[in-house]
Amino acid sequence: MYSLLIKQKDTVNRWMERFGVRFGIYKNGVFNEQIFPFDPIPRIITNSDWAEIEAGLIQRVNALNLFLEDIYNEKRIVKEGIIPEEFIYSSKGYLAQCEGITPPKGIFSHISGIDLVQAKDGTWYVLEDNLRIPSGASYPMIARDITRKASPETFSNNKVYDNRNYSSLIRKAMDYVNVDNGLEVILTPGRYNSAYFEHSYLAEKAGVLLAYADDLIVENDMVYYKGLFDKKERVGVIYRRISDEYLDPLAFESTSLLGVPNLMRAYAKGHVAIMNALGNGVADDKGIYYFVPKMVEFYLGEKAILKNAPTYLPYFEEDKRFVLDNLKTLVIKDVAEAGGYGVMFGKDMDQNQLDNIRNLIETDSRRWIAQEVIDFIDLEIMEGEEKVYRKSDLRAFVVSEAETHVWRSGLTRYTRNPTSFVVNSSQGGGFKDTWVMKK
Amino acid sequence: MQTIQLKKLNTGISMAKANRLFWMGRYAERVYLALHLLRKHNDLMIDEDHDSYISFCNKMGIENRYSSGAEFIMSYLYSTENPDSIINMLERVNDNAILLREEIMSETLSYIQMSISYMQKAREGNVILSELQTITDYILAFWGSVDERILNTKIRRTIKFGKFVESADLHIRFDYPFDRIADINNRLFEYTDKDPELCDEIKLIAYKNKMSFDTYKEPQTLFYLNGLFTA
Repeated sequence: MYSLLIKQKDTVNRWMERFGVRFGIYKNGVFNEQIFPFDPIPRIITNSDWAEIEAGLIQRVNALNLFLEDIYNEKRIVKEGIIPEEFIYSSKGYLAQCEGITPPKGIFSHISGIDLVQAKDGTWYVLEDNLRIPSGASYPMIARDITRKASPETFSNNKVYDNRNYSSLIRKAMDYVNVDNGLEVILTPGRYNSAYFEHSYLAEKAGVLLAYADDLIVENDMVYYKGLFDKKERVGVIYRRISDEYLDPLAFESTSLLGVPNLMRAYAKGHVAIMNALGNGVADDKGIYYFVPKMVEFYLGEKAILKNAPTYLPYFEEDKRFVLDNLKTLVIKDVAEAGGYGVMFGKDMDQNQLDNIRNLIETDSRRWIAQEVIDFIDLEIMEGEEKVYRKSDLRAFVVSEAETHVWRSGLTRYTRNPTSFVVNSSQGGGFKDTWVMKK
Repeated sequence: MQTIQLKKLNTGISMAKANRLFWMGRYAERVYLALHLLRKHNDLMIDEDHDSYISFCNKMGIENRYSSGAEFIMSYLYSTENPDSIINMLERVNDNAILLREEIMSETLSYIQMSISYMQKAREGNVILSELQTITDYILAFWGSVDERILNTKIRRTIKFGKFVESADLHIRFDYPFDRIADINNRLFEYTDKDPELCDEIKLIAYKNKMSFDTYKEPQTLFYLNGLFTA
């Protein structure tokens, strides 16, 4: 099915190098750009599996968008006792400054990255929702462009959905929420961000401007792009690739040099759309994750199609007892961490570490969740000339505009370490293309 | 009648972007010409003037930190510790180009990426100068791509403005004949005249005034030339 592609591995890698397909990583405070290891064997998702994933993702993201709308306005879900209010207000992602703000066209999460794994029995589980600045879609997009060049026969012999429309989906979403037909920009923190390749590549492919903080200015609560010799042009939508806390030094972290002063004011007045909206972190908090299936029922009156990994919240006494009694078999996650950090497998901890985590859970139960370890499937990867099996996940991308679309592909990340479950690129993982089959 | 909905054109050049475009053009031309001039001096070093590298350094305006021609060649090509080296010049092209992907497009950027990769491999293998013709070829392909693939006139002109300032600068430094400099200036003035807003008018007049057979090599000429870009 893809044997021809494997033979073209070196050609593919040469093209990757030619296009500068890299990601940045900080090690010991030093920034290094490196080639993102690419495995030529794709993850293949059958059309029927995809139909279920797609329906489940649309449902999930629609519910999450309704949750965000609710939480920054009426808070029905809290008032009706579905989610304890502590989970909202103690979340690091909750921004009081966003209270009462509904973004243009009512969309909060325009681009959602939902991390899934497939268990050995074939069931797909959602591991994590990423509703702030999920990254990674550009890699399978450019990989497909290259693999189609390197091995056209592979794609004439297999009916695979083309995934090179991701930038068009992004552009459509930007067009949809654009305020007063202003300029459309991707706001990047700059070259030393780990995902800089993606920022610049998406700007090129979507036909929007790549802007740095200094390129933008807010005057009279309007955002402008500063052209040459003080020529200013109104900005209607910003696809920001900067975290909330650094986005506006006057509203959030005052030392931030990456943000645009007064951007929050322009946003609050509805004069500019920000993709994704500020304050989304409250919905992708690892603690809130537990409640997503309940959100689906609450807002949509439907049963969640996609399952969460079995999760326990030590915040609830009953769950806490279970977690403390079963620490050795669970995976413990710090809700404040991301990127594969703060993830601890009970089976790998010695007695000291177990005692330590037990204390932490006892004293600050809201900070932790525990999940059962899903024995998810191993995927084949090429290691040199040999095929080996490694753990992997799938980040699916959901784009919300007038309708909610799931991009028919995704970023499949795999661990290169045979004993590890952690697939994040920041932890040395590689990536694969994801084929969604037409039939 | 069917109407065609045109997509919004997201165009804009900030001060920082104009500077990157200009300097990308300058550095790319510097790499090209430095290799070209190095080949000429290397040829002299074979049998006519073993110390020709000293005059190269003087003309280029760089410190002579080398004890021999052989040391000069390897350090000037490949040393990442040598701020004047060609490998560092290429990094400067890349520093600017990589921030301009959405304007120059991956296709144009790829020639710089390939130059960097080739140069890094050449460095590891201590590859001799003649093999670096590949870099020259990539830079020429880069210029072809700039000319043919970048459709935004302002973007293209700003890059070429940088290219011809660098070209005039190095040709003057390396004592090229006046008619050659005049030809390069004609190319340069295509950009200064079409985009006067990016050019310091007073310095341009002063530079043009220096363009006579007797005065074009005076230090003031380079001062005016290097002050032309104003973004």
